[in-house]
Amino acid sequence: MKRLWLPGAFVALIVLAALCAPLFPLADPVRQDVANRLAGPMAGSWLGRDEFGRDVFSRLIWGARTSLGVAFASAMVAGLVGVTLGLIGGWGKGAAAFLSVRSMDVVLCFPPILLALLVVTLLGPGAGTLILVLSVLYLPGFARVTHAEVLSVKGRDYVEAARALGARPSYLLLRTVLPNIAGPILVQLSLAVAAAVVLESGLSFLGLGVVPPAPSWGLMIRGARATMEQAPLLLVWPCAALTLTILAMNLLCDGLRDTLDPRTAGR
Amino acid sequence: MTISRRTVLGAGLAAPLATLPVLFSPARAQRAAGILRYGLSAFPPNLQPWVSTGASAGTVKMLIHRSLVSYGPGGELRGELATSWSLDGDGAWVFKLRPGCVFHNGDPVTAEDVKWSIEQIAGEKSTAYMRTQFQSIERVEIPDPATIRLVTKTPQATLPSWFGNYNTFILSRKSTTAEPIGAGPFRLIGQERGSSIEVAAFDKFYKPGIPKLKGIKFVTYADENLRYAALQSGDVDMIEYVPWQSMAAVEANPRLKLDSQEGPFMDVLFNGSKPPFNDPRVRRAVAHAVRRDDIVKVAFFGRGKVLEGLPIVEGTPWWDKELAHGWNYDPARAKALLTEAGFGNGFQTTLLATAQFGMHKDTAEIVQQHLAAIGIQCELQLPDWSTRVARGSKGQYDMAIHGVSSDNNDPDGLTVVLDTTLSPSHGRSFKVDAPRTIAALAKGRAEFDQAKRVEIYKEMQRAALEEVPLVGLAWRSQGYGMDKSVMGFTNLPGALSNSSGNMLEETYFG
Repeated sequence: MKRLWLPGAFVALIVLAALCAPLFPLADPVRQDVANRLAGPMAGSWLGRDEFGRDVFSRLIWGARTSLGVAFASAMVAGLVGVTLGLIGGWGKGAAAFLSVRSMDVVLCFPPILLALLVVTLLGPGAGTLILVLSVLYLPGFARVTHAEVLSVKGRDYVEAARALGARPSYLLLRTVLPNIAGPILVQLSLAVAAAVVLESGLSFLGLGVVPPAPSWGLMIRGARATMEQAPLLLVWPCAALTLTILAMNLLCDGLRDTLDPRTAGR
Repeated sequence: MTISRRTVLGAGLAAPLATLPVLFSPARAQRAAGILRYGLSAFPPNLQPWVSTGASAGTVKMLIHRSLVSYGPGGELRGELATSWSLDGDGAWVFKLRPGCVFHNGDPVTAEDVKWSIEQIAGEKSTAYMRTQFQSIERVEIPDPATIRLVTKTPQATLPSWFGNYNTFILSRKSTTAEPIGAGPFRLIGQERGSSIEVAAFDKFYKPGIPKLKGIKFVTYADENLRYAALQSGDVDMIEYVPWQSMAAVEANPRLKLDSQEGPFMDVLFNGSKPPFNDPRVRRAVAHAVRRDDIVKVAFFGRGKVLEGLPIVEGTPWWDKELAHGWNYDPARAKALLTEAGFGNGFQTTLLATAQFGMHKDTAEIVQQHLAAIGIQCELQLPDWSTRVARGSKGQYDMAIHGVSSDNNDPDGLTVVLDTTLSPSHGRSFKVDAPRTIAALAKGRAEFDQAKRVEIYKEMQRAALEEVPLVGLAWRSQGYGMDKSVMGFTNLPGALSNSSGNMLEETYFG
């Protein structure tokens, strides 16, 4: 449990900051002030101003909201659909079971970034498109993990016992099997969120993600790259935020896995 | 020797270490004698001589092909395959051909080749950039083998400049679509799709001592920061399109020099086929709403100039101080215009630009902010460049940001951006009504008297300020960065900056 504290607290802090962004007395993240463009740290803007004279600190916080919002939403969608597919595939028989798992292999065939680029080019950039793309990309992970766990669990005695007591398949799946395989799925969820943050930033960096002037870490890095020589610090802040968030999330995943996995629990 | 797991691991670890010295002392690409290495901003989609495929392609095309005239270092027309040109008594243009010009296949350049080329450009199935203009040539006559006479349907005062365009070349009659035969100072000797093009000097070029280089190797660096880095590290001797944020660094570098001109400009285009932008008052409100100085500072790092009227270069006879500021920044007036047009409470719309070029995106963000201040809320749409072009040509937008330059420094060169009755293009507004502007442009084209032309074009500016076929935003600096040893190159003034590739024939290493 100890290993969960530090990364857990950090992730909680970021999530809290993102959730409460409208409550803080922050400068408007899209208000431009060209007279103060590329200004260093100053009163009211602790981290300085970007190339449009917008407050960098405010954009970091609001950017977290965008990045995490997209990441959580897509991980949730992928989780819901993926787990359902995995349960059907693991429990059922016949064509439905076969299709639900094998269809995921089709998605896995595509390199993730290329698939994302293709979809964004077809549908046009935007937060909605991003959520769609990312959830499709992380779907197979959930489906596979669930499928494998269901297979290993469904022959266990307690499942047999529940079945012998006359439980219907839906009850068995949702109340008997699902709680017992929740650990790996939660770990998969935290992995997917962390990976989605990276991919969201990457696509925004390429100009295919969040549409300006909405703040996003990837967009901030993209903007700061051009002024790298005049204002190197502008590149540091969003990169640091991104790196720390992903590091914390991955540490949290590790901790979660150690805690939730029955094979390593209790050590 | 047996290969064990340990040796493989050891080798794997040693490999990165062995390359360390290479990383810390990067080998500088060596310059071959007399070969210029030039960093292109885009790989030419093709090198078809008469089709417009962008300025980068134009740079290469100008070196392997030749036309009747070209632009000299001061931006004046100078003879190439023609030595002189004049109007005869009947209003037809007569070109005298230069003796002794030969094509790359060794054949002499004859009046028949010139006639053939003009007819091909104007042809029924032609996809040439200058097709519409050339179709106004009624017939091409050859009074004697060294003379060509062009009879036009209506008087055309600016006809010689048509041949200065980098999409109008004279080719040999033996040319095929796959293999055009030109008469330029360089021959195409090889290209690697997507990355580089090589040209070598043509030894029978008609100007003695030209070209001064033995050859040029064009290397494509699509990313502006990488292009600048290549110049800085000495991988190339010269680059086009120096990114604005790096211009100061090029000037400060003792090994490099910058040659920049304020030529191209940024503007807002409208879709006039539907409300609200079918109303000229709404378009004018947009014109008065944007503080141009912000664009110059943010998108161009101060390397540009505000443009509050039509893109007419200051100092030319057509320029007028009052007209040049006809769309001055005045949010109160913009609001009044909106109210007058019945949009007192503002409205929602979209603004199309591209995320591919930073200057387009930055300009769009600033325009968006200023329009919001007068109540026009616009959603940015930033697709990739080819989608932006396609949507612009089909009129699938409300407002769009564009960067363009006039065809040449004569106000008639603005026809391509102002005349909305020409075929739909991403470079001009879609179905915007500007009858007086277009009529004035046509009048100016048919007028030969300079004083009268000045009056006509001032009238055209007055009309355009009211009809608003586009909104000018900012002139931008167009810069070539090069090693100090590169001599003889000139960035042509004003709108001709993109035609400067022609000057590479006079470039040499000093």
